[in-house]
Amino acid sequence: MFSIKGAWGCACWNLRLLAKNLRFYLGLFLGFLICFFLTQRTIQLSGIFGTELQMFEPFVWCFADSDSVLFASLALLLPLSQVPSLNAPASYLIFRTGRRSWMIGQTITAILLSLFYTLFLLAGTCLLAGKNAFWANRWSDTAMVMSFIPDQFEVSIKVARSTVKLSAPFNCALQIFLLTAQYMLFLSLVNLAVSLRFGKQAGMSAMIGISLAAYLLTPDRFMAWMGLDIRLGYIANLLAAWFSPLQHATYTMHSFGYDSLPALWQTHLIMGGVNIGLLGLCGAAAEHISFLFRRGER
Amino acid sequence: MIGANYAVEVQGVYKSFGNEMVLEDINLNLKRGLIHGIIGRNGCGKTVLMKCILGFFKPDHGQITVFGKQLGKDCGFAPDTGMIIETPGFIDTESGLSNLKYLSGLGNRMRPGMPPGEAMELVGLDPRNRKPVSKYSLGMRQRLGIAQAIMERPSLLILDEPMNGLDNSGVEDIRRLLCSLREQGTTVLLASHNPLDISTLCDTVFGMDGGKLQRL
Repeated sequence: MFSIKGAWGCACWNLRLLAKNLRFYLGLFLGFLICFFLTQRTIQLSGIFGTELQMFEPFVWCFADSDSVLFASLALLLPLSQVPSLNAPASYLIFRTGRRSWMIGQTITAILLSLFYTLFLLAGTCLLAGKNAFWANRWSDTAMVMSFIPDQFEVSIKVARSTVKLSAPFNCALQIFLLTAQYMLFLSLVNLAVSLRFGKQAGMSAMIGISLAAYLLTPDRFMAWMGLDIRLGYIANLLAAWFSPLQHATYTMHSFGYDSLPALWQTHLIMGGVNIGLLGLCGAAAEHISFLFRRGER
Repeated sequence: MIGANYAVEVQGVYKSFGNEMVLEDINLNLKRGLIHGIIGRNGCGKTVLMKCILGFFKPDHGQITVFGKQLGKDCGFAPDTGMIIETPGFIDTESGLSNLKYLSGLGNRMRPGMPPGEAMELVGLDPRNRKPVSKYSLGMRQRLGIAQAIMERPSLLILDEPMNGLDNSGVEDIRRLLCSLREQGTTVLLASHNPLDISTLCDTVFGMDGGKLQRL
């Protein structure tokens, strides 16, 4: 049995701790800095062309790329290092609410933190788009120019043309938001499951290890690293798209109807399943937590 | 029914960490409404035994029953119990009252506890003091830990070294508080290094050595 009041209470306790923690704000600052650097090229081009931007376009063009999602997720590691709290105050919480409620409280925290951080990235890019942006649900002239002659402007928009043809900005931004949030949640739950079973340091190491593996297993890097022939590029793409969580979070690594990459709904199903599996592992790990009962929390 | 007389029944409990046997064939019955003391050297297993009774550690063998409920079968943690284990920890950036208010709102107790401010006054802390816990002395933290343990009016208190860091008047205050709680029917299991605490407060005393427990 678990109590909703207890679970929500544990989540609120965690959020209060986060709100007073410097690492949380440092993570947000780094996230904003990453948004700033990633959106610069798009905003510069808008200035060069003298054209407007759709408000979500900086987010779409930047976070449709795997490296951008990866860099942004690294900044999330700072606030995640505070979850779950496994010391004396946590022992008072778990003793009052029970393991299951406490565990659900940690999960709520992980979900809210992942969603909040992804929303923050979205809001950050919108803010950076500045006054030269409009809200209407249509692509801007900047997008049109960039999508049809991307190489000339060195903007990493691999399927920009398909994106502009097949989707509207609101829908596209929503899909990228959901994919990014799924990946952030994946990292949060890996941290939670490993931390509960093997301790906080192991949780952080697992997140860093996954990020490093995701970086190396990007198709281009993997092929260069293994010295694979360029003709195997399609297979490398397929394997990465289906098996790498980071590539699942990458909008441009999805099928737009003409190849065997995963469709968006398949990614949501797979990542949703993986995240539910991680929740199960967290539940099992919560049965074996032992607390230190020593220091307070700042 | 024999169990109704006892707040805690520990039967044949063993607990080891790796190759080290920390608790060995522990049998312990704690009568209700009394203060029971445990003495022993550092590292003899007192804290591990208390954590087992609370439900934080699962014994390798044996069973523990608290108020008729078997831990790990009928409930996860000891029911109707307050505790302080080792050095109490709180959210350092919040005041003592704020910490207690938050904790008191979490439980699902059938009977009401006391207001957190009243619990603080009982242990000699001023609830109007808005100082964050990070600015508390060791003794003030210890008092806050005791307030945390008693504020829900539990029927069983498990206190591991509750007098740590307290000055003489603080020790006297807590002794008086424990005696008054006993008069109200609360069962207390107290671990202390101070022989005076044990001799003045406890109705029964157990000695622990090398993971083995015996009544003194």
